[in-house]
Amino acid sequence: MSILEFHDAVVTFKARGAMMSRLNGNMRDFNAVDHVSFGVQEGEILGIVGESGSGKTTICKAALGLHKMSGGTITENGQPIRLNDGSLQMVFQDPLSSLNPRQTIAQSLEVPLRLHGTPKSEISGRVDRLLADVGLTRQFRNRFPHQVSGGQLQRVAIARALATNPRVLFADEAVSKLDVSVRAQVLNLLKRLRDSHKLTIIFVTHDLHVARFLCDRIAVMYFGKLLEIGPTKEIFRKPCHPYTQVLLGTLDKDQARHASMRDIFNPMRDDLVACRYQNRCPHVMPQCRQRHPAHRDCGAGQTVACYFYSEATEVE
Amino acid sequence: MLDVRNLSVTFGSGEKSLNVCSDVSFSLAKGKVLGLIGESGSGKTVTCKALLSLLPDNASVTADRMNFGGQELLSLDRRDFNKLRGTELAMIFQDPVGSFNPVKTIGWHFRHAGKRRRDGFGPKSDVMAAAEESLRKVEIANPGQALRKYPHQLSGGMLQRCLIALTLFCKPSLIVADEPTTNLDNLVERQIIDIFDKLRHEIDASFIFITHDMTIAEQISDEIAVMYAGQIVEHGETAEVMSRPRHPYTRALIKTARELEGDVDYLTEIPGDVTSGLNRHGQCRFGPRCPLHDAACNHTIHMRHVQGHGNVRCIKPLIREEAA
Amino acid sequence: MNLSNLLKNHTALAGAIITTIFLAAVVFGPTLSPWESNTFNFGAALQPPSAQHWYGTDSLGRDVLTRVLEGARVSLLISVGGVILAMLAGVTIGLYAGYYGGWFDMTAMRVMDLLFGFPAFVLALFLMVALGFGVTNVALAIMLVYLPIFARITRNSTELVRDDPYIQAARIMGQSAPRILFRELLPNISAPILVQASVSIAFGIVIESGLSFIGLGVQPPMPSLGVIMADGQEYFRPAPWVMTMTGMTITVALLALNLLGDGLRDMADPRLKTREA
Repeated sequence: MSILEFHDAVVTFKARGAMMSRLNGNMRDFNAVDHVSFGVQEGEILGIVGESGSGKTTICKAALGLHKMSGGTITENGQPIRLNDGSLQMVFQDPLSSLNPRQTIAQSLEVPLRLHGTPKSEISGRVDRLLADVGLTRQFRNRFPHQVSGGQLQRVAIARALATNPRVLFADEAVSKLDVSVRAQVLNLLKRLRDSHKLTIIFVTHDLHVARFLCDRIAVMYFGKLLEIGPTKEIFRKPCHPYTQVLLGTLDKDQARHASMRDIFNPMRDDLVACRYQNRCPHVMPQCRQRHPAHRDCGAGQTVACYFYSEATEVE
Repeated sequence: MLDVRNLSVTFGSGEKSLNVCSDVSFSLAKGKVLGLIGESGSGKTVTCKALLSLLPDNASVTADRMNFGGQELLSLDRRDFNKLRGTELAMIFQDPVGSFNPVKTIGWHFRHAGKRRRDGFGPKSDVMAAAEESLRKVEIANPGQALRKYPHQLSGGMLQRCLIALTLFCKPSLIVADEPTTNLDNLVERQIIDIFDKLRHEIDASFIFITHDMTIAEQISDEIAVMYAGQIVEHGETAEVMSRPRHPYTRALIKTARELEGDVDYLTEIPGDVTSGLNRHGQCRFGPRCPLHDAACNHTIHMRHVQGHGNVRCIKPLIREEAA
Repeated sequence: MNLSNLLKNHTALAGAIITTIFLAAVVFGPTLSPWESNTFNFGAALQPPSAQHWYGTDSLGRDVLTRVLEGARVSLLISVGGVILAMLAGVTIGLYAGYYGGWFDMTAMRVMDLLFGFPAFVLALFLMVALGFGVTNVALAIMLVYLPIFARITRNSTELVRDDPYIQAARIMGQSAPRILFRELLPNISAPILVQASVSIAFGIVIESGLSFIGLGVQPPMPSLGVIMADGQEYFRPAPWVMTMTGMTITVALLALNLLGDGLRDMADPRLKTREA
C-alpha cells in the first residue's frame, strides 16, 4: 500500500548570478528534480541512490517543504501531504550541525514533544523512553552536542525525529559521516525501528553497500531524473540501466567499467530534453537524442527509463 | 627510506594533556605503499603531520627515531625542514578545494611548484610542457585547457587529480595521501584509486595512504597498518592482514566490510566507541570494546611479532581458526 | 562564551573590570559623595583638584566629580536606552530579513542603507533639530544611528545560519517562524550582536556628549558629560580641570567598553576556540 506518492515532481533551481551570465546562456534555471514519479510502500525502506547533483537530497527536502515544488504533487495516502505536523521527519548527514549547539540533549528532545502537545508531566518520561528506544542511557540528558560522539549523536537525532511519531522518516546520508565501526549500530537501529515503530524509511545514500544492506527497494537518480527503481535484490542481480551497471560495477574490482570523465552531463550546457545519460551511454540510439525515455518494465517490480528495453510496457 | 621508532604526540601539558598517538613505529621501504587504516581518533592524520612537521606549536612530538632517507627529521630546524617539504616529503589532503589558491590558475600553481623542483627548469615553456605531461599522467584529457582554469571551474574529481599531479610534480620521495577520496562520489573515487594504483607502479616514491576503507587499502597497498586510539594495533603485508587478521579490532573492521558486501539481516556491532580508549595508558585501549578482554589485558600492551604475519598489539592466543 | 573563557582573555577581563568599577562609581558615587551636584557655592568656585574636591570645582562652586558621576549616569542611561531600542528593532528586522530574504530583505536593507548613509553625528543633529531637545530625543537619535548596524549584522549572521540542519529540523518538526528565529536562531548568533552593543553604548556616550556640548542634547541644569564639558569650555583657561577631568572620564569609559567589546569579539571567534586534536 502506497503511503507516499511522487507525481511528476519538479523542483527548479533558479539561475543565480550576474545578469550577463544569464543573458549569455551561461547560467539557466535547472531542474534539480525533473519530472520524477514513484511511490513509497508503507513499511518499506526505500533507498535513493545517486551521485552529487542527482537530486536525491533535493527531492526529500521538497517532500518536507524545505524546497518549493515547481511542478507535480506529492501525496500521502491520496491527500496532499501535510507539512510540519510531525508525520514526516528527517535525519541529516552531520549530526553535530543538526542539533542546536546551545541546547542540551534533553532540551532538544523536549522541544518537539512540547510542540505536539505532550502534557508537561509526561515530558521527562517520554524523553527517557526516546533515549532508550535508540539505545542511549539517561546520562545523555544533560550533555551538549559537542560533548557526544558522532554515532551517539546521530542516535539522538533519530530520537528527536521519533518524538513527533512520524510515519515516514527521511534519512539523508545518515551514516556517511560516521566511523565504519559505528555505522553498524545506526544501520541496525534503523532496521529495528522500522519494525518497532511502524516506520517507512527513505534512505538517501551514495554508498551502494549500505543501500544493499538496509533497503528493500532502490531508486537510482541521475541529474534530476529517476533512471531505475526496483527491489534491491533484483537491481543488484540484474541492473537494467547502463548507469546502474556502471555504478554497481564500482563495487566489483574485477569488473569495473570506467566512465569517461569527459562526458558528464553538464546542467548548464547539455540538452535537457534528450536522455540525460546519452553522452556516456555505450548503447546510445537515435531516439535517445530526441527525448528522455519514459519508464518501462524490465523485471519483477523493476522499471527503467531506457529505450534499450521494450516500449510495450510503458509505465506512467 | 622511512624509519620511525616510538613516535608520540601529545597536545597541551600537565593535567589537560591529550596523548593523540603513542608508541608508533614502522618502516617503509622505497617504492612501497603503506595503507594506514583508522577511524576518527586513531591518530593516523596526526602521525603523518608529525612526520611533515605540520603540527601546531602546542603539540609536543617525541620519538626515538624519525629517519627519512638517512636524515634524522627530529634534529632538523625549521629552515631545513622547509627545504624538504614539498620537494622530498609531500602530503595530499582530503579536501582538494582548500589546497589551491582560489584566485590563481592551475598553471600558476605548477609554475610555482616548478620553481622549487630540485632539478630546476629552463624557460617557462618547459615548465608548462612538464605540467601538461604531469596532468596527462593523471588522465586529464585536455591538460592545456585545464592549466588555464581556476579551481572553482573544476569538479572535485578533476581538482583532486590536479592536486595529485601537482604533488608529484616536484618528484618527492615520500608522499602522504590523507583520505584523498573520502569526499568524492563513487565513480570518481574509483577512478582516482585506479590512478593511484597505476602511479605507484610507475614512480619509485614511497606512499603512505591513509583511509578508513579497508577495500581501498587492500587494492593499493603493499603493507597495511591499522591504528586505533593513537596506536598501531596491527601491521603486516596486505594479503596476510586482510586474510588472517589477528587483532580483534582489525577483525571487526574486516567483518563489517565483508558483511556489507554480503547478505545479512543485521550487522555485527562493535559496542561503544573510540572515546573509551583515547588517552589511556597502562591498559589496552581497545579493551572496553573487545570481546576477548579480561583482567590480563590491564597493562601496557606492546607490539609483538608474529612469525610470517607481522606485528600485533594483543596478548590473546594469536592462532585462532575462525569458523567461516 | 562563559566565565572561564572570560577570565583567560585578558582584554575582555580588563574591559570588564574597568567597566564594573566605572558602573559602580556611576551608580553609587553620587549618593556616596558629600557634595550635591547642583548646590551653588560661589565661595569655592573654580578651585583646582584637591583632597576635598577630587576633580576641583566649576564656576558655580559645584563639585566637579559629583557632577561628572551624575552626568555619566545620565549619559550612560541615555546611551543604553538608545542602544537597547536599536537592538530590539534592528535585531528583529535583521532576523526576518535574513530568514525570508526576497523583497522584504531588499526593502528593509535599502532603508537601513539610507540611515547608514548619514554620518552618525549629522543624523543625530538633524533629528534633534527636527524633534526638539531633551533626554528622550537624544536616546531616539542614538537609536536611529545604531538601528541599521544591528539590522545588518543580524541579517548577515542569520543568512549564514538559516540553512543549517538544526534550523531545518526545527522547521520540519513544525516550529513557527517567530519561535525558530528567537528561540533557535538568535541565541546562536548573539555574539556579534552583544559585541556591537558594547561598542555602540560607548559611542552613544560620545554622541550624547557631543549633542549636549553644543546645546542640542541634555539641557542644563541636568548634568550630562556633554553639558559639563560645555560648562568647562567657557572657563578653560583659568580652570582647565573641568573639561580635562570630564574628558578623561569619557575616555576611560570608552576604553573600558571598547576593551570589553574587543575581548568579547575575540572570545566569540570560532577560530580561536581550542579544539580537540
